[in-house]
Amino acid sequence: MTEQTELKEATDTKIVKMIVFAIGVQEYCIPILSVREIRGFEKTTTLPFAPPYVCGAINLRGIILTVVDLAVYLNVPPQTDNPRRVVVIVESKNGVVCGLLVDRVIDMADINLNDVQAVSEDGSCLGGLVLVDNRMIGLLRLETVVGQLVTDTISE
Amino acid sequence: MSSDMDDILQIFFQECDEQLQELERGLSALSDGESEHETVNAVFRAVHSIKGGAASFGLDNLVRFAHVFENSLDGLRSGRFAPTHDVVKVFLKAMDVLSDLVNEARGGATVDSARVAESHAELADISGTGGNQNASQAATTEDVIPADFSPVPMDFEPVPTDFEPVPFDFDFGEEEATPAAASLLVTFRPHDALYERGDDARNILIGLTDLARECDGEIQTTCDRSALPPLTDLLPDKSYLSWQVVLPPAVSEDSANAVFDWVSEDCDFSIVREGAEAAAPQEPPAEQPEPAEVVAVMPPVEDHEAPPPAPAPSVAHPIQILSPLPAPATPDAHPGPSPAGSAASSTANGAAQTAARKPEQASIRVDLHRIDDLMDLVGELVIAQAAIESLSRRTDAAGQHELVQSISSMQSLTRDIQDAVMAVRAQPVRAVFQRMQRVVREASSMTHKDIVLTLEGEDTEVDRTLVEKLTDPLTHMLRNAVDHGIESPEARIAAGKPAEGHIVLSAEHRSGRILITIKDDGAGINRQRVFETAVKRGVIPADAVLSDEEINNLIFMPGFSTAAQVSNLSGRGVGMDVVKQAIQSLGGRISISSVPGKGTTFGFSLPLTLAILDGMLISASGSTMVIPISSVIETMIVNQSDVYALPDGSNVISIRGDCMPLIPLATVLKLSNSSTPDSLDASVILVVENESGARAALIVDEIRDQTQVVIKSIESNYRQIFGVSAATILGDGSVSLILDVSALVASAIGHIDIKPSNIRAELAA
Amino acid sequence: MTEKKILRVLTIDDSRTMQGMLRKALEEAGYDVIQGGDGVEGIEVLESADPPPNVIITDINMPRMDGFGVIEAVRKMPAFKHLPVIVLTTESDPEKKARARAAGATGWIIKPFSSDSLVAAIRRVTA
Repeated sequence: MTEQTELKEATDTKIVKMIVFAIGVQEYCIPILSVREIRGFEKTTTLPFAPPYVCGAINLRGIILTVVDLAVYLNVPPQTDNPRRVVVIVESKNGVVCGLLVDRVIDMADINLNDVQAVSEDGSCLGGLVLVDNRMIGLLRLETVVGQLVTDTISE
Repeated sequence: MSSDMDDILQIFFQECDEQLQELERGLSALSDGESEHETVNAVFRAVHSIKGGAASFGLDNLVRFAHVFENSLDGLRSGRFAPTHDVVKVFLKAMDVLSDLVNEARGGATVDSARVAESHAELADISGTGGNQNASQAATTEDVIPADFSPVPMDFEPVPTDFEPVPFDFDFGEEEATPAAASLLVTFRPHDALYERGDDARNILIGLTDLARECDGEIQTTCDRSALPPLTDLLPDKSYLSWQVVLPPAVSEDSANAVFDWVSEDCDFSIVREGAEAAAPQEPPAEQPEPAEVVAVMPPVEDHEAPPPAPAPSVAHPIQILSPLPAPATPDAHPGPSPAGSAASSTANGAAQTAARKPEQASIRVDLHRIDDLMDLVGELVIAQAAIESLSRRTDAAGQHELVQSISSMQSLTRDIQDAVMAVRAQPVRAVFQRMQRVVREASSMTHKDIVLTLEGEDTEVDRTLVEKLTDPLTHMLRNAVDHGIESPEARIAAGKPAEGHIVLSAEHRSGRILITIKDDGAGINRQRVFETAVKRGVIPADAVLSDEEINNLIFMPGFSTAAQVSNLSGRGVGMDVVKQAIQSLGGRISISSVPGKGTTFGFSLPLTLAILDGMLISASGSTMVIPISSVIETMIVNQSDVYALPDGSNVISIRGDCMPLIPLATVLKLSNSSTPDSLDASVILVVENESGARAALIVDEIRDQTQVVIKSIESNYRQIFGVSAATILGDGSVSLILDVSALVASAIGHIDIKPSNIRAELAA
Repeated sequence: MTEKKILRVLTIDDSRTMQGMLRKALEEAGYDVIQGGDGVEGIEVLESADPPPNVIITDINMPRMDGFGVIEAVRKMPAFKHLPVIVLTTESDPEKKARARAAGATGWIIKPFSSDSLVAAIRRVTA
């Protein structure tokens, strides 16, 4: 199956391999190519004036990056005592690295972008919904999340 | 292969930068009245080198201009004219053009061809017309001419064939046009001198063989050994043999001549078309009494060792035909210095194009001894590490003690390595400083002022990242000094000053920082006008009461410009506030001192590196944070009686009579929700100071340690945070924030004083 | 061709660009290349080279010791007085050429060179 998909990927660029994770009861996905690594949730350093969805800063082998609590970001009640919470380290197109705190990583899926149904206007963090094996999966727009992370200014 | 060429092209551009610096240094020395031959030579060599490299890459524009430049410099070098003020000026201008052409070749902005042509004409003028005017002088001033380069009259015959100065490159185009029926007879007899030059008769024979093979022919060679003495009398250094070679008819006289081009002085030879009259052979080897053996050229013997000592070996190994010969060298269609056409240069052309798109590779040149020092330290580190490893296995108390000692020596070693690495990264500010010469030159010509920039302390070293980031702020400061600092020549004369303005750019190390000063001898800051402008622009209220220093600092306020009309020069995009931001982002401070009528001095005090900082570890509301030690004045315990609560809820503290705001760190950074506790008694405070000397007291939970921290950007993956300048990673791997003392102090001052307040805060920042 | 011994070439040039070009051209042609960054260094490299080079290619215009100096120095060394020395320079001035010849240069190539002409030149003088 993987061989097939790879072949398909080569010929049909509309198919994108995504990593699917859960935030609360909902599932979201982001392109696997933007994922650098997945690590356990560790203690973060609180940052002054940070928006509520920013847990704080961590050290990733000498690089300092922030962890975004996606539950807070997406207005889903966070599962603070969930031991399966992990941080997905992602890199945006313009090279910004950050961590996404998710409740659990579910699996990988090949998403055909033609099957994605738009649900909100441009600029939203949700790029649309797609049905995979009867599961509704939201396409998270990484660039929107990162864009907000980098430019939001919360003054004193 | 093309990536190789890319690499070499990168080296070329690096070298261009170095040569341009060398050129700048040399020309500045010349303009300072120095006329050392070595300086002139170095200047010449710099341009020459750029030309040579550029030619290899087919960078025609660059080659053409460098060539003219070089010719002019050659006139200087050979003493045809002197490095007068005007001449040096032309050279400086040409240097700027050359530098831009290099940049253009690198893929930068296209250089205005009119500018190139203008400089070109000026250069031609000084070497041509200018040279002629001094032509009669040249004869009389021969003693001035550097011996090395004086045009020694040549006794030599000119090169026999001037169409083809390179003996190894042949143009065979002609011979196809004029096929000759008769064979070509070549006779030659080398002199001793030919062998003394490391040449060999065989080389000539090979040259002729190659000619024959170009026409798919062969040569017939006869060696004349008649002059050979008995073996007992044979001197190995002497030349005794001569040769007669019959070349196929297709070979032209000219191409045969070319083989002898380089050796014409050291060899008797004749080239005759068979059947034609012998064109007066210089030596008639055909008259040999003994019938010659027919021998032919052997191909290059690739494995022979040192060149044979003269002809003796040729006798020992009779030459014989060997075929097939190794593949002939392809004749080069472009023998002259024409840069285009050859295989190599066309590849290079391609490389030049691709390289223009490739980002430049960053590299630095480092003194070998610095690397050696580092190596030594790393060697020690390896030993220390092994010692610690073995000690760590011991369980006895003595072992424990030794372990602690080893670790502490490892610590000092680490510090040494850190210093050594810093030294590797350190670079003199020279490169940036020298670039400022051009800035001042251009700015003064644009403003019609005559200004001399003097550089001091160019060898002062700072971290390379800092060197690079200094360029923009310095450029702006110097433009500003030219534009606003120095008065017009008329105004200067009226003020009793020399018409020529003077700016000094200097660098020095001072207590672990680098201090860069820009000092002009202009009119000084007109505080009255600065104040009025600031009021007019709404930067400050009209009733603001400001000290002289505060007024000086107004020029760094955003959007401030005192120029009555925004000149072409300073109007270019940025204001002084940008300079201030840039310097601050480098962890620097700016100071100004200005005396009316005497001039203004700007000082930049910068850390030597952007990578490491001496910090004090403190904690506030559970967070560990770092405060740069350079901004900490003292630490103390608060005595409640020194605290005075203001109506807005903030507090000031009096420390030995100085009142300053008290900043509850955790609250200001919104790390804790609780407002300032009722009693501050026994709180720990740090008295901190910003660049302008404004002070505040930070309330912290505790002071933990004093340590060096590595500065890590927080903005590269996040955003700017108020009160935080960067972050670092502590020993346990956790992230800790480095506080921005300037911002904290500024906001605290802004809090307390309401009136001319915000400016004061901004000024302090 | 297949079993030929590798010839060693010493190039002396103060331009790193030129050194790079020479090294590339010569190594691609199968030569072993050693280099000196100016005349003085070139002579040092020559003296300590083991095995010694089979030919020297030198620039003329260099700091410390120029190409003429190199040729003269080489000619004064008993072990190398017959070593071929090819001058590689941008100068096409006949006067300079004559000087190089008088100093004892074995050949003269003008920059920019093509690999072919360079190799041909070396082949000639190292025959």
